[in-house]
Amino acid sequence: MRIGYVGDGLFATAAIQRLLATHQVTTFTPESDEAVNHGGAAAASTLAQLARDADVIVVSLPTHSALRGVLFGSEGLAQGLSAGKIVVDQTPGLPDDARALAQELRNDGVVLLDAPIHSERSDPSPELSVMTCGGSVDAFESIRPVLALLCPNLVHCGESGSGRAAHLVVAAVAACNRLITYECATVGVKNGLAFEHMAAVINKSSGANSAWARVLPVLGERGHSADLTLGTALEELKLASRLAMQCGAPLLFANLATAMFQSAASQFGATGTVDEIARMFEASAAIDFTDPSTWVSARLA
Amino acid sequence: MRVGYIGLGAMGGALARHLVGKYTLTVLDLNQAAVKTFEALGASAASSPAEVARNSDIVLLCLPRSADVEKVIFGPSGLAEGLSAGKIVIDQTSGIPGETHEFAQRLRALGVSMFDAPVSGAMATAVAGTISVIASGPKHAFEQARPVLTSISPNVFHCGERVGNGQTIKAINNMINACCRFATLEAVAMGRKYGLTLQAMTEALNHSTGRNYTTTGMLPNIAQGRQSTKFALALQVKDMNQAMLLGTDRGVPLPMATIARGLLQIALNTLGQNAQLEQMIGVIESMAGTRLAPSPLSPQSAQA
Repeated sequence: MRIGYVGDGLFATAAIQRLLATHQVTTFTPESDEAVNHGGAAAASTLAQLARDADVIVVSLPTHSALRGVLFGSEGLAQGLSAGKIVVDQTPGLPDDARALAQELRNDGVVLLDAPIHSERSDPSPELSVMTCGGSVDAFESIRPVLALLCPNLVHCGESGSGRAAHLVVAAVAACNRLITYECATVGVKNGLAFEHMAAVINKSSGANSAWARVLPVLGERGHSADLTLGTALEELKLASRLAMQCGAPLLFANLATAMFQSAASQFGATGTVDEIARMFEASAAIDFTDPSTWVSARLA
Repeated sequence: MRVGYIGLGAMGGALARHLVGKYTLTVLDLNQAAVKTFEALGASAASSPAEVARNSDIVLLCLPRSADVEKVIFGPSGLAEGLSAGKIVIDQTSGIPGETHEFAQRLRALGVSMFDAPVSGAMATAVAGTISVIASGPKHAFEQARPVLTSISPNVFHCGERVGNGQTIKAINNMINACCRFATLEAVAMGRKYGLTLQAMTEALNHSTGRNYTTTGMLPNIAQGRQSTKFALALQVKDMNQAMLLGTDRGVPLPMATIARGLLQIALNTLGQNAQLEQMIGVIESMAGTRLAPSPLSPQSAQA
């Protein structure tokens, strides 16, 4: 199958390498506005050309407006799309925007699947990554092997927009898992608990969660549990907050997460990873996770 | 070895059951029916904590709160009157770590070692003998008592020499559980309101870093119409309040836990003192104006 790949986000490099093993891949990177060679992938001269030369076009951009620019700008993808082609849109965004876009493309016989990937690592792992997909289930099944190269876990969630909506639900819970982990680990060390004891018990108890399992082992050495940047995570949370307003859900925890990720991004920069949030909790309780002498208050010692 | 157990309530009773037949067991509870049950199984009944202490080498306690523990140990005819050097007291109460620590210090003057070993897990795991036992305190006393604890469950942790660490970890575990539970339910409620299925969201969450105890346990149970918790809401509020003090007393801001505690308190006030934790599903649903469970098939769609 001929695949076109547009975008240079977190997952691009690893994804293109996996696709190349079994498919013909053409790339185009809009950021620099010129084709970039991704180790063996052909480079298209224009987005329209990329669309003409591909059966499946994967687009992974930071925002919905960037996606529209790539599709409908001059010499954009839309000019090379024709009936039967499938666009796999990995852009995080509002579900209804994906739904409207799918309707626009459907008029020309083109199928749009909204299929963002949630993974905190740049190379989506079989354990902790998922592509949530909305749109035609027939189109989804017809390119399942290609999608499986992009992400090991695929969940078809329903009609257009539902892939994005499910992505925002996942992003909201993942962010909350992380914040709850930092908050409760801070309580633990301030009460004299060792990371190893907290980890051993809670990973096997009802407090178990993905963030606790990944963050606690590296917290004491300022290690990295994620490649996901604060900027990207924040954009996803802001979308979740907007979806909550749109559909009338209170979203108390995740809206607070949006505020806290915003605060962290403002303090530490959007390009740092979500691990930077630990520093916010350290400052809030006047501790240093790497220095046990700062943990326990005098009257406990 | 002679073992005593004081507090044969729902949890204490389930834990003490595992000691029957393995040790010479003396029990005490205000509820005579519970005591009779254990007598029928071969345990001896004592008339006071002091008598339990005199008849035992190791005494375990599982009481509603730390104030009860203090009364049982240091009150009239309390444990302290019957304890002598070398005996061990194990507190399985979901108590206040600082108070347990202080009780242990007072007992040390008598040559008695006390440590905490609260349990974490559902009642069913207490009955099955697989519950987590989270002990902390002097290692020598813990090692001496280890066979008794492993009779209750093989899943025994020792979390440091400081008495109270076990209760602290248990409280933190419960706080994480509550926060993750409601954060998950409210996000899923949003997805349901948008039109997603519970099944798709559950599958996506469990393949991602959104995974937690609620996504693996409660969400599939809701989808299948099964109850997943059996716990009084009032107790959850008490546990949450106790856990939050561990943060506020040590200068730790608790933004996420604050929301969870607020939700629990609102629900308790709205639903009444007999409310169950499971009813929080309905609270989250009504707050968002949606249902988490799949709608029952209408006759028409069932035919289709």
